[in-house]
Amino acid sequence: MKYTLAKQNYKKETFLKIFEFAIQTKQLDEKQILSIQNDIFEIVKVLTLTYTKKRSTTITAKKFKQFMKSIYYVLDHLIVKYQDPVFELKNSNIKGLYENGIIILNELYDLLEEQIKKLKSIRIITNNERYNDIFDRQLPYFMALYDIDYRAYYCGYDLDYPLIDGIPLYFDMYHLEGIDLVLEYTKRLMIEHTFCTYFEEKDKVTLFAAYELQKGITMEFIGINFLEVILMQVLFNMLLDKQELSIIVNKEEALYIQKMIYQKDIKTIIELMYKKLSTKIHERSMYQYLCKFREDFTRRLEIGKEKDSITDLIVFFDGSKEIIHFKEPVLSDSEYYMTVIESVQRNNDVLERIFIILNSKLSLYDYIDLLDANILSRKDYQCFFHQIDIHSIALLLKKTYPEEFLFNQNVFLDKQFVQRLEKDKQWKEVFCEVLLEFTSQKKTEITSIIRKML
Amino acid sequence: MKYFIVKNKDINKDFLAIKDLNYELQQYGLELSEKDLQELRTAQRLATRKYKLVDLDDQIIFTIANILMKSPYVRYDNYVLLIKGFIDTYYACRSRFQSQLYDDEVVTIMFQCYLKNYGEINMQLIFNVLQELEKTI
Repeated sequence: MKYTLAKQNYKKETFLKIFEFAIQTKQLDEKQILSIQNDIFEIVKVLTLTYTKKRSTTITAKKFKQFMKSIYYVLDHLIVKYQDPVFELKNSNIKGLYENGIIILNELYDLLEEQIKKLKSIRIITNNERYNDIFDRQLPYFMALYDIDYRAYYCGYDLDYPLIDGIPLYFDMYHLEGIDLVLEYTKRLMIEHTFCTYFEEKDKVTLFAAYELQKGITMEFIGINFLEVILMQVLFNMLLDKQELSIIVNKEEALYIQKMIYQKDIKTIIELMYKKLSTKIHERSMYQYLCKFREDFTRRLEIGKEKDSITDLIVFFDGSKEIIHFKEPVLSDSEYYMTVIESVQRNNDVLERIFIILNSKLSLYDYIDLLDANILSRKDYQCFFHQIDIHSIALLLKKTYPEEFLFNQNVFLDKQFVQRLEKDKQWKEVFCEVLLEFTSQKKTEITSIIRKML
Repeated sequence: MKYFIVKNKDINKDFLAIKDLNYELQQYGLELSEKDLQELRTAQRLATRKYKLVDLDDQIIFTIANILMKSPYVRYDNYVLLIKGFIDTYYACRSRFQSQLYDDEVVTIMFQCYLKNYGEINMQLIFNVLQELEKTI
């Protein structure tokens, strides 16, 4: 009987499965079985001796299992290459098969290295932690620490930047291990990145900034898939009569899209979107990959329609929304800082002292140092906080109490909020008092400035 | 996962190994039979299982038998028992110091400690061997 490999699911075929099949169907006689077993034993013995530097033939049971698993992993890669694997088992030397398997794994390693290099060249510029971790830590460390001899099956990293169909290690998505898993992940990541390269970097940066602003959350810490954000915009754009693929939608266009979605059936809309998309994407494999999002997108639109929140799904650019970019303040040199402090200390008049501080070229962190230094009186603090503009107040508030503004959450400068703030220094007490004295309009302005800060 | 592992039991090889060993043992009035060797192999298997280790060779039995024949505490009737005790002690120490020392080195240190322990194989011996091994490393 000939063992037929399941072509579609060939990655599930293992050396052990084929060996067991050959034994059960009595295609191998006892002598051949013993010879195969002895060959495997010899391989594991050689591995053990190289591992212990020929000092001992004893290893822990855990290490032994690792070696065995690694040997089978290597043999698995070779066995799927043969038309009749049982015939190969009968007639080949297992040691030779193992050596050829190592060569195949080395080739895969080179392929992966090349793939990662290509991916790095088209990497998206973002501050997203998970995404950057994949490129800066997980993939390079996997490459550096990958051990073909002793732990070929092992991948010690989560690969936790989600792809459009999820995180690979969750639920053992691809049923793969070791280098196969990483290779599959990078292959999919490559398709996603190739699609992302269709759009200008400038557009992507604007889209992500608008996304943050609209959702009220920074991209830094969230487990987001960039293709998902981009693809949704592209699909919405398909409803507009644009000649080229685009990710930019303005407010009027967003309202038009919303109107269209409400007028028609969701399935018709999705059909239309993907039909148009198929005409614009010529690579079939990429189009098929993008279709993985179809089901999820349909569900989102259905929920959006049900809850009347379609516009929340579209990232659009409202002209009235401004983004404030504050450069990280640089500390002044200590000599200059000391001269300012000395001149402040020399003066007795409150207004003059504040005048010196405000006209100095101190940065925000210097201001905080100066406030912490306890050289000003309560009156000085009051005068100082009334003199500085609302932008500085907002910045000071965000830098002093960063824990209150995590993930760009909305805050209201009401009595309850101010009472909650830490007041371990005199200036902080005065600062809180001054905050309460502000008019409600001024408070709203301050909070809106904080939200616009990135 | 199943492991298809068997050690090559070459009967001729065993016979020759025992013949070689017995040639040496005769000088001390000792002897090992093939049945004894089987018994020692079982003891080795049990000891490795006890300490969660795997030994891919039985050479350690011959190393221990070779060094123990020089012991003043060994007699014709307790020789196999002593080897068994030594095998257990050896793997107890190996589980602590994996592959940092050569097998021969470990057995030599064990033998020295055994002599200092007046031929007793007990917890004290294991403790002393571990201390000595730590010093060597």
